[in-house]
Amino acid sequence: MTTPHDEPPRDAWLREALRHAPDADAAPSAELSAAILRQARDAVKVAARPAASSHPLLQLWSWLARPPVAAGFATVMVATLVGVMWWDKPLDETLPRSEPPAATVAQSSAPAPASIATPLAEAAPPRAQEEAAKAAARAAKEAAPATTARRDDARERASTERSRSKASDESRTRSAAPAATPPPPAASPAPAPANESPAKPAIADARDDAAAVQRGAAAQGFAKSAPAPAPAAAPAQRRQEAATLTPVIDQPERWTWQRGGAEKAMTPGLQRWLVQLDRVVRWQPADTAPPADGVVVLRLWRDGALHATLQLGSDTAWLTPAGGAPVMAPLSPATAAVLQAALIAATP
Amino acid sequence: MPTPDAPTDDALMAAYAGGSAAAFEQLYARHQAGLYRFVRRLLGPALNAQTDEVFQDTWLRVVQARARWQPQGASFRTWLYTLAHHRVIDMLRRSGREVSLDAQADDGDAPWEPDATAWQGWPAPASAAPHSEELAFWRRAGEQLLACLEQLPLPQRSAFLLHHDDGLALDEVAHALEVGFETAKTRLRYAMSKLRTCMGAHLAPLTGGGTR
Repeated sequence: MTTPHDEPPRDAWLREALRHAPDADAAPSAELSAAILRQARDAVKVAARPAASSHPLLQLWSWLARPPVAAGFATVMVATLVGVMWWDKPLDETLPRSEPPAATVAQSSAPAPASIATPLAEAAPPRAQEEAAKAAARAAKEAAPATTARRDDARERASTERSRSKASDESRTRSAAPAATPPPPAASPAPAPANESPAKPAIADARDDAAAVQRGAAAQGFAKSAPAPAPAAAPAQRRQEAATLTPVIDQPERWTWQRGGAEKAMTPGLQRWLVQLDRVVRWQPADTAPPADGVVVLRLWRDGALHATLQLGSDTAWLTPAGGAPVMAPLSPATAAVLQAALIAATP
Repeated sequence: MPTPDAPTDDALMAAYAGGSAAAFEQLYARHQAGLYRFVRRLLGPALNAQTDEVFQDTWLRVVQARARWQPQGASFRTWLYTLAHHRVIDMLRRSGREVSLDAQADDGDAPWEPDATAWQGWPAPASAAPHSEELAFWRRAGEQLLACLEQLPLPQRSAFLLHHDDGLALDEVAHALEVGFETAKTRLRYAMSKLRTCMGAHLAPLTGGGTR
């Protein structure tokens, strides 16, 4: 900063001479001043015009035009587009799936037995049976059209989820009623006698598999015309397989079954059991043959002709379509025990 | 000059940046005459016709830069004269004139310091009501001063005009010319020295009353 001492004094004579110079009164012309002022006014008017626009659409548009908002909007749009594109895609079963946390398993293990065992057990309460039957019928109805479109497929999944949640809600109320049996430990699979309570952990495993199994790999043997798919089946192929589960449910009068004795007509109990089996197992090409004994064998006949043979062992299920390649599905011992017991109960 | 209650230049410029055209009109009214004179005298008689263009261009720069303008380091007036100075240099260069921004390039020694007797034959400068003879003298002095200004290099001319005509303090002059304080001071001393010499050589002192 300067101080007054640094400031050189102004020369009074020179200033006086400047004051009397011929151009001392020079000033811009009125036209020039008007032009400058007009331009200054126009500049602020133009700047103020967009801000003053009160139309909601214009305000929305100007808000969207801001870079941060536009970037966020574009991100949401891209995410939505990707989500829609993946909406109907089945999960890639070749990818490893993460194990559910223990708390989740513990939470789901209590209702799970009812969701599978209840439809199978003959002694289930009427309401639970009715609920399970509704779920099965809904699943059958949704899977029925062979020319199923994507929407049908999605609805099928949603319906299955609904039926599962309804059934598990029902079972939760059922299990809450006695209130004497505490929920089983989360990750300690119990030995598997053929009763309901020890099977709970196994059913938890089964629930874990159910989403993938629901694509209907089990239906390989039930397909009318589809050949047995290759191990690495394409998603479209798996979707087709899902639809082929339905004949047993849609046209039970055409189906008979045989387990050791004579052929018998299809029963609702066996239909429900087949649906639950479909949910639990994940079929794959068979690399071992079923043992000669220790398995429960169920033969399914359609219109009097053998259609498929199902063999249920202590830890594996085999399905052999008539004239087709056999497939197998590994099971946990507890699940296999529950399925065997339920099958025996459903096919007296 | 604004009254004490009037808003400052900086406040008016901020108001104009906020959309107030009236604020710009006030600013323009305050500075238009001084700026126009500054531009005209800096350009000199040869480029008088370009005064309007440079003057208008300077104000348009103010309009365009209103959003970026921040009252930091320099006052609005200093900034305004900086803009005008740049426009004048552009115009001089466009017209083919060689513009040297180094005022000391052709000045070798220390500037001449006038002694007190140099103005003894001149009338007192602050005379409230000069009589006709004095008035005629000062008019001649004014004409002569414009001619002497023409002989000054541009940096010295601008330093002198800002300091003596527009009333900027020396540090404001330095700001406006974008040079250091000492540089501005030296330019000013050179300018005053040359002008005094020029004026004394060509302007005959009054022989009658009113002398100092």
